[in-house]
Formats: sequence, C-alpha cells, structure tokens
Amino acid sequence: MEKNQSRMQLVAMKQSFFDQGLLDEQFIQLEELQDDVNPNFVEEIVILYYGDSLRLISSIEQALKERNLLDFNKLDTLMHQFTGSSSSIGAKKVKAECNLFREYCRAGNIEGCMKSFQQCKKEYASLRKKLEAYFQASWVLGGSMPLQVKKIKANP
Amino acid sequence: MEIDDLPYQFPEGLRVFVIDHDTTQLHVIANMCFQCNYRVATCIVASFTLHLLRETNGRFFYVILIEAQMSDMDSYQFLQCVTQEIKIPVIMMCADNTTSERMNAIEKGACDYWLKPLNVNHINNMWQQFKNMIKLKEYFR
Repeated sequence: MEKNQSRMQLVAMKQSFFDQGLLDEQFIQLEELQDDVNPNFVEEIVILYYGDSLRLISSIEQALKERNLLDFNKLDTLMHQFTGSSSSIGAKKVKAECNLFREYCRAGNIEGCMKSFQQCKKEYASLRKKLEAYFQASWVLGGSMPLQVKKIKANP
Repeated sequence: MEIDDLPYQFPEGLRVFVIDHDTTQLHVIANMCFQCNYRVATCIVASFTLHLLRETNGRFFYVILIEAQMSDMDSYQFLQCVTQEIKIPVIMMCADNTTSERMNAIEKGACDYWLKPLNVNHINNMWQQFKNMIKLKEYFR
C-alpha cells in the first residue's frame, strides 16, 4: 500500500517536471532506452551530462570575463555544444535559456549575454537538484542502484 | 563495398560510425543505435576517424553520422573527403536548423541533415539511407 503511494508520488514528481516545462519528450526517449540490460541509463546520462558540461560552463565563464572584448564567435560555439548536450537529455528550460544566449551573442549584446548566462546556470542547477531528488526517490522505491552511486557534484 | 557482400535483409548488424565531440550526446546516440541492434563505433575526433576510414578503405562501416560543428576539424571537409574518397553515406546532424546549413550539407554530399536531439525514428532511418545508396550503386553498375 505504502509502495503504491510512493510510486504515485514518483510519477507525480516526474509529471510536474513536464508540466513546469523543465523537461521535454527527449527525456521520454531516454526512458525508453532503459531496460533490464541498461536499468540505470537515464540516471547515467544525467550524471554524464552534469559532469561533462561543467567544463563547458567554466569555459563560457572564462570567455565572459573578457567583458568588453567578448569573442562572440567563441561564445556561440561553446554555447552551441551546451545547447546540444542539454537538448539531448530533454532539459527544456536550460535549452531555451541557451538559445536566448545565442541570440544575444549574434546581436553582439554583452549585457544580454551576461544576464542570460546567469539564467542558464540557475535553470541548470535547479534541474540538477530536482533530478537528484527524483532518482533518489526511485531508488527508495526499489529501483536498482546505479553502478556508480555518485552524488552529482556541485559547481565549484 | 560490393552488393554481394551484403549478408542481410534486415537492419540488424548495420555498422555505424558516430562522431561527436560531446560525450553526452555521443552516448545517447550510440545507445539508440544499440536499441536497433546496430553495431556502433564512436569517436569524439573527426580527424582520427577520417584517418581510420582511409586506412581501412571504409570496409567496416556502412553509414557515418557526424556533428556539423566538430571542434577538431571542419565537418564539411570531412564530408567531402569521405564522399569523394570512401563513398559511404554520411549524415550530418546539428542543433541548428538553418536552411543554409542544410543546403550546404546536401550540396557537399551529405545524404541527410538531421536536427538534434535525435530520436529513434532517425536511427531507424539510417538503414533506409544505406539501402538507398546501395540501390543507386546497383543502378549505375
């Protein structure tokens, strides 16, 4: 009985991510790749994403430090990869912020770039917390533990 | 690659090479290919892949999937080299959906240009791209 309630809560949690526009259909695509052979696929991809993208984010941060001498081409290239990465896990809001950043880049709008990057990081961090809670809840329900029980690292 | 070498009617075992400098995306795409029972090789570097294909004369792969904005090498240059020298179907993929990029890719010899993020339909279609190329080769024999 309790397990059913927990299961329903988990489903509701996931649904809320879709309702709030945090995740899109791509996340469902990832879930469909999960099976007995690959029982933790979604979580593994999310861990990979958050690990990989740290490097991209700090490169962008570095590049933005140039203040009035921004290399917009470089920024756009870095953000292009981050956008692709984010979209591949279904991170809808993060992707939207990335696209906004790229528009500012193309317009050569320094202020816009700075602001939208802050938003980007905010959405990125917020999604991480929510997904961590979601995966934690699904372990509790008796889902299999991922091979590397690695807590997703916070940004330095 | 000879038509007579084709051992199968079904898509299983289609040998695909996926090239993307982003490991998250590479992992997702590779797994989608595994789901379709393709045999996948992956690489984060286009120049090395080109070298490998040249060394093996493209004997081991049937379709190539490459990100349009690779960081180590111009993907369009990769595309031209592969289509001219090795003659394996190349599909470009990109998070950008500009018509000019798409046209550029097709003009330079890409079989198709897919918008990221990829889904399972795209992966299933790889088999179709491969079949089309074989049909063309048959026709010109």
